[in-house]
Amino acid sequence: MSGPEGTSRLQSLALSEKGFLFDPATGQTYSLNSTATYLLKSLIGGVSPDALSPLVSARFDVDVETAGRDAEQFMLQLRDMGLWDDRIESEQKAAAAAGEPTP
Amino acid sequence: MKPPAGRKPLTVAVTGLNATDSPGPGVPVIRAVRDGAAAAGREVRIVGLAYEPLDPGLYMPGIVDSGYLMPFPSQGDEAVLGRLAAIHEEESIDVLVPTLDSELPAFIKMEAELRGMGIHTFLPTNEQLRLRSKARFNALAELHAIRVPRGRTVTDVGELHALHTELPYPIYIKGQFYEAYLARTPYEAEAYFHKLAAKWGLPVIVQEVVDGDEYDVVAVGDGHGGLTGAVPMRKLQLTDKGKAWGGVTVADPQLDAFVKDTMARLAWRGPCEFEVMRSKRDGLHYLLEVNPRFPAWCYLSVGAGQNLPWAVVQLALGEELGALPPYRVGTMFLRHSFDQICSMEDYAAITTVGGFRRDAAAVADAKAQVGGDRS
Repeated sequence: MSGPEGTSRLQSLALSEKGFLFDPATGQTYSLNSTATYLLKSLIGGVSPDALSPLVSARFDVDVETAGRDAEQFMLQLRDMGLWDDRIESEQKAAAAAGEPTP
Repeated sequence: MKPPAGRKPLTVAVTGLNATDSPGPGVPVIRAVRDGAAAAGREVRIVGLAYEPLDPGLYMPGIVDSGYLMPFPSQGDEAVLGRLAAIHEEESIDVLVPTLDSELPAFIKMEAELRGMGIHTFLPTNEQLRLRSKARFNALAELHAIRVPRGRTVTDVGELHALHTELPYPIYIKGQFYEAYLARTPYEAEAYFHKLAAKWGLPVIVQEVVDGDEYDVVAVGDGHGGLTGAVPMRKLQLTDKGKAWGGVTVADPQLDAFVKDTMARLAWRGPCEFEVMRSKRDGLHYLLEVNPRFPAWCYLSVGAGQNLPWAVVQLALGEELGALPPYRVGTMFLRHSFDQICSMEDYAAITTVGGFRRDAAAVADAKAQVGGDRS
């Protein structure tokens, strides 16, 4: 499932600063905690999953191992929610390579 | 007693004013038509057509200007046409928007006669109506290559049980008009078969389960395969009968493409609701049902910026429609039922003489101003 025409799946998501997430493709809504909000914003902004744990470690002042586990759990949850898969990852990489501005 | 000549507003008759555990589409259609007329700077009168004197839409403030009882469709086309002609004599109806499945065959059959009387409609053909019926639903796949769940009609228990290799359990057992049950075993299937056959007659429909996410789409077809407008939504909360009691508009390009393609194949004329399932197994969309009229949640189309009931009124009148604006994604609706205080005078009028006019005094005043009948 892609996002509305002209947007990638991730870019089509509506995420508020307070962690309210609306997925317009499915109509589903979610409440994210502050860590998940930061992680999803980073992904939407073009950060690759591999680069998330050092960002989380720095932002939330936790050791890299804990941050890595949190990031991994988060990515698994995104997959369960249908918001991350190989195709979405390719879209994100293509967008990053094209140097598209972050939303 | 008709409004004076030269001051006649657009008069739209709407059915479906009932509301028991699930409201009819009449009131939301009326709200949409009033909104559309107001936005277009046009004066509109609404004539409510009800089948029961206690249909709540008759009594809601700001909904109907006059209300009339209609004979049930089962009383025959002559009775329906005769009653409509008598109401038309009083009201000079310009457009009729039927909103109930059971009355559509009659109104479709008399479309030409209604047009001759000056009553315009925008309805599908009888063949289109029959094709999307539950009993013939798989013909949509055979004739139009529309993706639907696999299904068969059965007329006896032997046929039902013979299907288990082709349609493994669980399966849906559906009545030919209404109701569907999920059967997990042959015993359940047989029990539901007898229940539905007794209630709705034969055939009974057996259909595979497509597991996934359901979306409902209110759409208007132009009759030539084109899509005048469509607003898809996902249900947010359901009644115990699975009806939407809340929903949100969504944006899924694959769903949009499926709706556009289905409409092109059906060449549907008028309003409809597509029930669509996005399968978890293969990610494809399947058409579960085509309801041949506006759904009760159709006011969401107005909230999302695409007033589909008003578009149907304009199409019925043969007016040119520009492209409708895109609908707003993320528009929510939540349904509420409330106790309204009603007029005993209106109820007395409906039950004794079969109709009332709320604006009778205003019409009499207007008539007096132009030197009308003083009797």
